[in-house]
Amino acid sequence: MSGVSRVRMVFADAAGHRREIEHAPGCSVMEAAVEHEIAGIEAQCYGAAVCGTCHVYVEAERFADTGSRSPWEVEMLDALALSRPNSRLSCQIRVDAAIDGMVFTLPERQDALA
Amino acid sequence: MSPHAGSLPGHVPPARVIDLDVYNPSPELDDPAEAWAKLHDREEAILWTRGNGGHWIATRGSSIKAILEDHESFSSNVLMVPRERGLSNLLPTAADPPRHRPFRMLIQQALTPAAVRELEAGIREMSRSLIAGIAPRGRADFMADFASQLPTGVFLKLANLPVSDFPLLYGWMESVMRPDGSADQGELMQRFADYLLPILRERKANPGSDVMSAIATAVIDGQPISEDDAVNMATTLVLGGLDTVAALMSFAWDYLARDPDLQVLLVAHPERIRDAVEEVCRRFPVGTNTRVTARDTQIDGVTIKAGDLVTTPQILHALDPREYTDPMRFDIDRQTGGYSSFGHGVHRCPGSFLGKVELRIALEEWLAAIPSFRIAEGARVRVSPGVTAGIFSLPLSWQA
Ligand code: HEM
Ligand code: FES
Repeated sequence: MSGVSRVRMVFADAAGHRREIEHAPGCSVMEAAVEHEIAGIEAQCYGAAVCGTCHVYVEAERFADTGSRSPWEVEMLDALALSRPNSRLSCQIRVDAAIDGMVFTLPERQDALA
Repeated sequence: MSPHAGSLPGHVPPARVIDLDVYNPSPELDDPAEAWAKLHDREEAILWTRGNGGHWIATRGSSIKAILEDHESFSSNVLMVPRERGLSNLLPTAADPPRHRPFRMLIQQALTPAAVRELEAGIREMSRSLIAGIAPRGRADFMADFASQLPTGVFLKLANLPVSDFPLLYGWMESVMRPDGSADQGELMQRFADYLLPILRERKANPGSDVMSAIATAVIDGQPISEDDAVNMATTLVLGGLDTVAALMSFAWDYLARDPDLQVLLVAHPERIRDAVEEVCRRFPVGTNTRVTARDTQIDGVTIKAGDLVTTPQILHALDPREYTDPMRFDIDRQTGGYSSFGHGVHRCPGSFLGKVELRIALEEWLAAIPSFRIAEGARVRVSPGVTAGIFSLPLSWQA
């Protein structure tokens, strides 16, 4: 329908299963994943960056393409047990052309922050 | 001149001062959007109004977002203007981090995407049965016959409250949201408390799987939740979950009734209803948030002083030409996102997924049963301003 652009994203779970989705730009990666029912994105707070259950690892070489992390996001990620240097809260990444084709790897579980 | 005019504090540059009631910006117009859009002719990103006791108004997408994302500089302890109407006890809404967290984690449990998916079939069933009741009539008052019913039905189910309580709750909530001076806010909050407390006590004794039981039995920082806190949580749910969705729906149907081409498109391509829902959320935000400044902060070259109140009318983001090309136009191909209609930062609406699912399902079912409809002849449709704006009488007609 109508020549709107779509952005491709791949979600790879800890067991290596991959799912590719296409979504309109503008919203967050979390919202796109929820709409496509990606199982590993729980998104309990739905975008307020307070729950930590939309946690993803982004491709290290393309980290900068996901935009910058706010001090608040860094604080939340620091509190997550499974956090790594390439961790992001997917509700804080915007879907746009810069992330086209990006692989988001899911942590082995989503721990809600206490 | 707006109500509660305040005197001008010394740090407010006179060039930034206007007279505007954020809850009623243009009493003379049927749709206040034009009045809001005029503020974008000015260069500034933040202005001061003398209305409602005197406060700042963030007038651009950029300043609105910056304020709502910065909970350290802008506290939620005052949620409405003027200050004495601030609703400062609401939880989690009026609490700042770190106090905010445990209450927020608790309230959102009932609203997660997984929880909402469980509700979807029920929402569809409710929509179908409401529509089946009105479709053969060829006309309806959309607000009374549909938009006030569906979200309320969903909410009462979520909270496991009797449907017979609907008129009672709706009346109280309307008085809080649209303060016309007829009721004292403190008295209204007390009536909420008098209604909710016995329910919460009962759920604490006999918990079920509903959200009221979850609130009643919560443990906050190692202690059982206090009765005051439980009431303040339950009150927020009633205030936040009832009329917002109804208001959003009223704008959606008002617009769609006037755009037959879009009706045809969405009937032929129901998969585009999701994009239509996004554009409804972008173009028709229903509310205005308030914050109280916690420390002196520079915005757009002026000092916002600790203690100053700041409002963020979400429609000023929606209509900001620096954010959107031709912002007044409804365009489902827009795909720009990032709007302020559900807030930003730690208080961002936990019910937004539920609200959007309700809107999508309602549109899907409505268009399947009533593919073509219009504003009833002779009807005068007015946007009612308020803390939550909406269209409270929307007569529609169609070929039955
Ligand atoms: C779809 C229409 C809706 C709109 C436009 C809307 C709008 C908003 C906005 C703008 C906020 C942020 C308030 C602030 O920052 O001060 C908010 C918070 C909230 N909303 Fe919604 N909302 C909607 C639906 C719902 C529903 C259906 C529920 C629950 C059943 C809900 C529950 C809440 C709660 C509990 C908060 C407080 C969150 C916090 O303080 O952390 N909302 N909403
Ligand atoms: S959805 Fe909760 S942190 Fe992203």
